[in-house]
Amino acid sequence: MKWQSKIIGGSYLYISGIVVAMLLPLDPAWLPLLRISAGLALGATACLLAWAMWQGAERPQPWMQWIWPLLALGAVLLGYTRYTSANTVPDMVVGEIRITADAREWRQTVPLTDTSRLRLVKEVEMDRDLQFRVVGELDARLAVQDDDGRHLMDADGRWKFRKARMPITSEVVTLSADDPVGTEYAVVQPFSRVTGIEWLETPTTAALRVYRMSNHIGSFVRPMRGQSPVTVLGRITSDPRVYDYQTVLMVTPAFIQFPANGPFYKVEGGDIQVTLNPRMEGYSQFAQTSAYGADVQIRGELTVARAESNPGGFNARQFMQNYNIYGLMRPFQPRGEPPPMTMIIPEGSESVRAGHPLVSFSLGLRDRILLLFKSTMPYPQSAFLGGVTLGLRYGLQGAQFPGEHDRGAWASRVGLGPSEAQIVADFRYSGVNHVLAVSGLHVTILTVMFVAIFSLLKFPKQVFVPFVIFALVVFAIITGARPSTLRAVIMNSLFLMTWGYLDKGLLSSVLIGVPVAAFLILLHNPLVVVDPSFTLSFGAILSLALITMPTHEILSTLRSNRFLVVLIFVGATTAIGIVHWALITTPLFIFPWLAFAVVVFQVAKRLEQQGWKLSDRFAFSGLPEGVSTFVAAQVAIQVGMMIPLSAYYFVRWPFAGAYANLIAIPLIGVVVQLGAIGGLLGLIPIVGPYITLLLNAANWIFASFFLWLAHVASLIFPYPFARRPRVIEIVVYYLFIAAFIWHKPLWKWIKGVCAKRQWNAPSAPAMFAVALAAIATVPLWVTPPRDTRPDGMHMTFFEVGYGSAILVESPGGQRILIDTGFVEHERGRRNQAERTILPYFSHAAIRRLDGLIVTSPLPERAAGAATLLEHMRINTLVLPPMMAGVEPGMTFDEFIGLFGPASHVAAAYPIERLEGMYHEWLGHPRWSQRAALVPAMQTRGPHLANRLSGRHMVTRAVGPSDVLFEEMVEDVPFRIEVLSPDPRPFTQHVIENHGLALRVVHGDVAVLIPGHLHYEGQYRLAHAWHEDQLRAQVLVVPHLGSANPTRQDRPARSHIERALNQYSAPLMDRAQTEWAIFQFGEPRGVLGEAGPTARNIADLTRQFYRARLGTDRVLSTDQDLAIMLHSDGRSVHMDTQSQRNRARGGEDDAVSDLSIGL
Amino acid sequence: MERGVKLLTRIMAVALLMGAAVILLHPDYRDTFRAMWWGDIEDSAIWMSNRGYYSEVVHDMEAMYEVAE
Repeated sequence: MKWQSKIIGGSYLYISGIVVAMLLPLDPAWLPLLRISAGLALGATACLLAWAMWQGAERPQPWMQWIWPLLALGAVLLGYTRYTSANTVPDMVVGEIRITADAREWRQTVPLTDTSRLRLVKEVEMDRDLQFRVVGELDARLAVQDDDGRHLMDADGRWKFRKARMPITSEVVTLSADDPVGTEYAVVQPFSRVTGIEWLETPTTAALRVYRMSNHIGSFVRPMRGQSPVTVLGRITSDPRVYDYQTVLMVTPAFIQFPANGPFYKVEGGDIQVTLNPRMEGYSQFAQTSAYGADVQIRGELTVARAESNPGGFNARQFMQNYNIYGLMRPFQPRGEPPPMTMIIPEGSESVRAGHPLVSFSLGLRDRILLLFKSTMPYPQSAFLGGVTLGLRYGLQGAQFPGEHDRGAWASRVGLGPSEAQIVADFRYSGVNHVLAVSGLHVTILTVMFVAIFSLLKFPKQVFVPFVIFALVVFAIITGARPSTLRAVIMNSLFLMTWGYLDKGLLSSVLIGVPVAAFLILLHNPLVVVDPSFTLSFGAILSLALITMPTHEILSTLRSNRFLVVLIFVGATTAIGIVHWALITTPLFIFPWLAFAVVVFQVAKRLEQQGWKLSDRFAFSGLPEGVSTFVAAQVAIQVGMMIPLSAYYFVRWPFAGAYANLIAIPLIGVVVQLGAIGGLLGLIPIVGPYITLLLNAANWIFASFFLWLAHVASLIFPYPFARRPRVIEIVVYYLFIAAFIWHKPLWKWIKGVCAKRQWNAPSAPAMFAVALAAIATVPLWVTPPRDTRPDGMHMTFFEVGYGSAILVESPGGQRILIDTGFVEHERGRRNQAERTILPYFSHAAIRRLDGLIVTSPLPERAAGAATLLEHMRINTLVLPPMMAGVEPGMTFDEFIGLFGPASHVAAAYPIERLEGMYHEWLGHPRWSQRAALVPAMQTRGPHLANRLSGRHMVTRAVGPSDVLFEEMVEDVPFRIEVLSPDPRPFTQHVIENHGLALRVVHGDVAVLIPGHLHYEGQYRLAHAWHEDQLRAQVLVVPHLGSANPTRQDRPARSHIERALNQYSAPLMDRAQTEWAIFQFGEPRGVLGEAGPTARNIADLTRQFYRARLGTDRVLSTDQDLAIMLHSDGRSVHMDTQSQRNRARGGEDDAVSDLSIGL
Repeated sequence: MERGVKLLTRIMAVALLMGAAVILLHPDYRDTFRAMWWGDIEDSAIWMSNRGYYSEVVHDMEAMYEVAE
């Protein structure tokens, strides 16, 4: 038992070390010292433990008291160093350059290894500039290729190179005397040896530290597209992820040729994710399992994933780096060129090298089982089965609920109406998405299944335990060895061993299994400690292990009248949540409702005491034990994992999950077991496939029922956004959960303290408990909020691709959203309101908007409005005057008649664009579940529920000279002025030109937002107002900078420039613009075939603005990401998400921006 | 564990009966059974519905594992 406590304690201390490293990072230069300290401490611990064993446990010695402190020190330091070394790519100090009055010297302390790049850091101030050249040699690796340009590999799998020694003299390195100490400089030429320095200009004193830059793949990536291609030689080290539209491979690079015709560097770490287009020649050989292990040559741009595009957004770069992915490649094959990615066969071999034999065996087995699934179960149930049994969840992408393509399917018959949501969205909305992430549930199901099969066959457990563990390892490999799977396999293996050989039970296995599994996973990759798949998996198992029993105990006290009351209130609250979710989050409703529930509960209890009661058998404890434990476990998972962590990671909470999982979890047990048995028995020659057919025919019913369950739950239940809690809030939450878990010993301790202190009042323990609870909440009040900002006006221009969304936060606390971004329905995942705007609101704890202004009915500005109405409380919806007459039930012709004569409008715009707009506003005739603005407006009337929950909304159309949201804070006025549309009718581009143009004013600062005005509208706006009324330091470029001045698909450059000079320039001039903000992104999804034209026009428009304002004064959401503006009423300050990412150690540091080559 | 054995046995027994019923009653499953019997599974309705799903995984396993030079 003592060993067990040291293993458990050591594991948790190791995790603590990782947490300390995250909170208090040290300079990586300390790593060697920390590593040695950790090694010494752990080595000493091991020696003392060995000594203790030799001495025997019955004779404790005084020196044994040192075991725990040493173990703690060693484990914490180990965790600290593992995390720090995994999170940084330290460059190595190789020498220094020192200039004094007496000498100028280059002193090399460590010889260079391989092909090296140098980085210099200024260490002291200088009185003059320093200029020099580095002189040395390079042993360059040069390509050895066959006639087809493929790199050669010898029979042992080593890449072949020609070595060429060449003298190298670097370009002039200049260190300005004005640069601050700590400035970094790169030597752009690579060296294998440095032989000296050629001094050109030297100050009196100087000191430079010289680093050898690590050849980690992360040091070769470039953040933006359009870089010159590089060549990578490497090996495919994971199973290809095959989608129907692309294949994604993980390549571990061995060498990189950088730049295109430069030398090859030996890569010192990091993987590359390669995405292949099916149109590439030879694509099919990469889109199959046998590609695993193959050596490859890839040529293409090496880029890096984006960090957050918007404040609080998803950091794709960090997510990938947690899995050691530091580069992205999308090889492109120009017409007539050889394929950019080829497999390389070693000399003398017939085929490419295979991967690890166990992995190859596992993946081959998976393909054979998948083949059986495809033969015996129709799509999409087969994809579902492949996802939950084989971990092939990517195959389910794009699949829709069966029957949804046909009008009049079952959904219509029961009044739900067809939904275009994909199955994966159904799963997410209904809270059963976890079944697609292979985890403890699946592994446990398979463990029970294998044990049951062996037990049926009368094998002794000592014999079959190793076979079951082997099967679980194969299963982990098949399903991609994600942290959640590994955790479960390690834990189940430990359980099997303790059960099989030590006759231990489940609880002791869980107690030791959880920390050991966490330790092993984090020892391999400490970066996943904050990854959702890790924390959710461990959160689930800890919730099950620790919270289920106390929950069960409390629920078991419910019987008779009280049980009925609880059932009724849970049911009623659920019904209210389904019908009107906002009430659940309205304090004015929910607290009285809960108080009412408590009163009714007490009345029911009193009635019980007086004999007015239902049977005592009507109780939670009266349920079958398995059912009651399962319900308690579901409550435990919701409380311990889903509610806090789902809000933190996904800013949403699947309300349906609490109910859907009551059916889904038992059901998935049946589906996985039948699938696994069917797949394995199907491997038996001749009769096997028939058995699989028989089992999968039955499983088809269960799988279909599962899909149906998720679909119905997703349609009935809301999937609300939740405020993202701060880390300190989660810590405090878990303090209370811990108090709940250990409430009995805690209560005993409280009573003991009260007795000791002679607090004899009957209420003393309760008051002491309340005081402790209050103390626990202190960190909430003393820690600063997530985002501390100066007073004044703030505007956030979101990065929403091709579209617009601007949040205005006034000094007085009003929040107004101007436009809502685009919604791409076809692929079901490009709803900018859902992806960007609402998550930001959750992150920033914004629950209400004072105003939502839609400047134009066009989808790139208005499509997200319906989604926002669904999820947000909005006081006022402001529309352009042309939309004043929009009404529910309008026909298409009536709708386009709002913009002008219907025939004229129909002739002027592509019909798809008009229909898209109609569907966004009035609804889609086929997809009745799709959100649309006008029906959503109808639900925001002044009825009681809306008034109570604050969802009552006023809609108004505005015109020129209207002033909105006016306020005065500390004598500084704030208001939003409406400047257009011009009352005179337009003949062309009527939808664009009849939109709103706004001017946001805060004191002396003004921001002009001309919406989607086309050139004529811009010109009229410029001349309709006095210069003082137009003046704005910041101009948001109208029409997203992509207005086409002609009717041609490819307008001439001269036409665009003429239009900009003639129509856009007057607006800039008269407004006295100092800054311009572009809102731009990939337009193809919005404009279709016109997308490339829009991009070309936007490029020219951007050049035009840059030429007039200066490059630094033109910001763009496609390059600078979200743009944040702050006004103090006198001047503006601009900040961008790109700058924030860089400040956090992002991609654009000075060194990595420099090109490196011969 | 004994409960797990019993449960698995019951699930298997029920599944075999249900499977037989589905093959008898569902036209696509009848069609697939016939196709399997005659060795032309790739013509069955179920296989056809899976054409786009992991299209590289096909019955010709040698072709599946063949890597072009």
